[in-house]
Amino acid sequence: MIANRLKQELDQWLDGELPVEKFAQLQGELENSPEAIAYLAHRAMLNELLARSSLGEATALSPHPASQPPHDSRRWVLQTSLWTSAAAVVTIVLASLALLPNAVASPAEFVQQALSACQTLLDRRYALEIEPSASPRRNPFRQRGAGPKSTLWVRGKQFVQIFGTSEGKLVWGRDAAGSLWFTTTGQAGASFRADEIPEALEEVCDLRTLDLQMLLESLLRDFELKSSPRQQGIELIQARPQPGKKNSKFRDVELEIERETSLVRRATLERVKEGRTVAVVSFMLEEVAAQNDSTYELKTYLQPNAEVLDRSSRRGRRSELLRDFLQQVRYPATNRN
Amino acid sequence: MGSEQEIEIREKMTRLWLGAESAVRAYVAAAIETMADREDVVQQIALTMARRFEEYDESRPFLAWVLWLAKSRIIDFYRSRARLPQPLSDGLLEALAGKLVQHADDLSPRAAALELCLEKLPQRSRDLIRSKYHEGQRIEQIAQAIRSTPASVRVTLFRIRESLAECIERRLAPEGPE
Repeated sequence: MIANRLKQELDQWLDGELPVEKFAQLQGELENSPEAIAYLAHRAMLNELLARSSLGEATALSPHPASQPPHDSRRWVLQTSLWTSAAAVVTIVLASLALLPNAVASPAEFVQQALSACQTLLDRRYALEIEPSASPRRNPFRQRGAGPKSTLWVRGKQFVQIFGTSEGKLVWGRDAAGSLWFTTTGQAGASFRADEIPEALEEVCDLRTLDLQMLLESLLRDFELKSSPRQQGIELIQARPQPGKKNSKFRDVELEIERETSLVRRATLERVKEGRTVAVVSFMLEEVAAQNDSTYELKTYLQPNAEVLDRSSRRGRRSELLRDFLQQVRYPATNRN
Repeated sequence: MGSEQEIEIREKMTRLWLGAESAVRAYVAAAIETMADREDVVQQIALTMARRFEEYDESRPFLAWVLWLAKSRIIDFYRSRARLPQPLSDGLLEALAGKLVQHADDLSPRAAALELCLEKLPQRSRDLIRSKYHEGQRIEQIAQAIRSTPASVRVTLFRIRESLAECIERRLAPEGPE
């Protein structure tokens, strides 16, 4: 039987929060208690499983884990004992490539190298093209005519998309804390914390933004990959979900990866919702450059005395602004005329 | 060596590593205190494993071999940081590796059971787990975010982990849950 105090200290140790002066005592207790060593092994393993649990998947894909039915993303965890840890896999692949220099890279290795490159780069700017699905009447993301030009900057899960319209700037983004925000004029803005993002806003976010790291990890884990040389220096990767993997928000995915730098030059994704294709979205890399943290913050795009609507604002005002924003994002041509 | 054979070797190595990686990470987490150091050491272990893969004797469990390599990397890590006390002696590291190898086969059912147990947790507990494990927040940051104290968050997390561990054991018991 291990005392609760010792169990809690072992937890603290695994959390990296045990005071140094307690190290010697802890070692003494571990030396004298095989049970404590067994507990430490179990607990370390539990921590590792928690870090790989689908709670993290839910965070990556949707901020509404509680409001969803048990999601399909769990299935891959249940079905496989081989998990992907991007960093270590990349290490293995790079090491093995170094050891075996004559080897031909497989599609997975191209994707792994792209993942490694993506993790070392901060901010990327993309041009975005959306091709609506064939059934526009039922498609909430349809666009009437070409939308206004937009700039999409991405840093991990943070992004900012700036549309130039005749009325002024339509800007929206996700900040470092995970809040989604937008402003349609610069005179007022609205912000939704990660745990209160409406589904409609989340859907638009899924469609129009690119979390490259999440995408590449998902391809390595859940997709069958094929590669073929495209033009000079570019490898084309085509990905389809593995049979039985239905949790993905993408169906077919195409990547163009620059062989020399491992940069993903273009990503074309067939976005699906409830099994239906909603659009084919292409992201073309235009620039890689370091941006200020403030690039991803709402206040950067607001006029000095602008009002920020959040959960504490008068009921309904933020929703009105959201309706206006969604209207402008979904049907930009209509609004410009 | 032909390139097809090389690809085959690399694929085998990657597959074996992926199967062992959770246990390697658990091992390193139990032996080294800070997250950044743990990540560095895991990378070192992966590199060592890749360099020495030819030495691996397939008649032995891969995890035992890779944890043996990991033990050396952990000892090297503490040697390179002479001022840092090594909380687990060489003997303890060996005992810990033994325990992890024993449980290697039931990792997959454990992961499955954990998913079901997580679903039964109250939302607030799931949020705490997410903050700790997926957002990488420290106890103090979590306490600030939820307007609590570090001690309270620590104890709550301890209880959640205890309840998850018990739930997993119940689900893995031959007679099943409840």
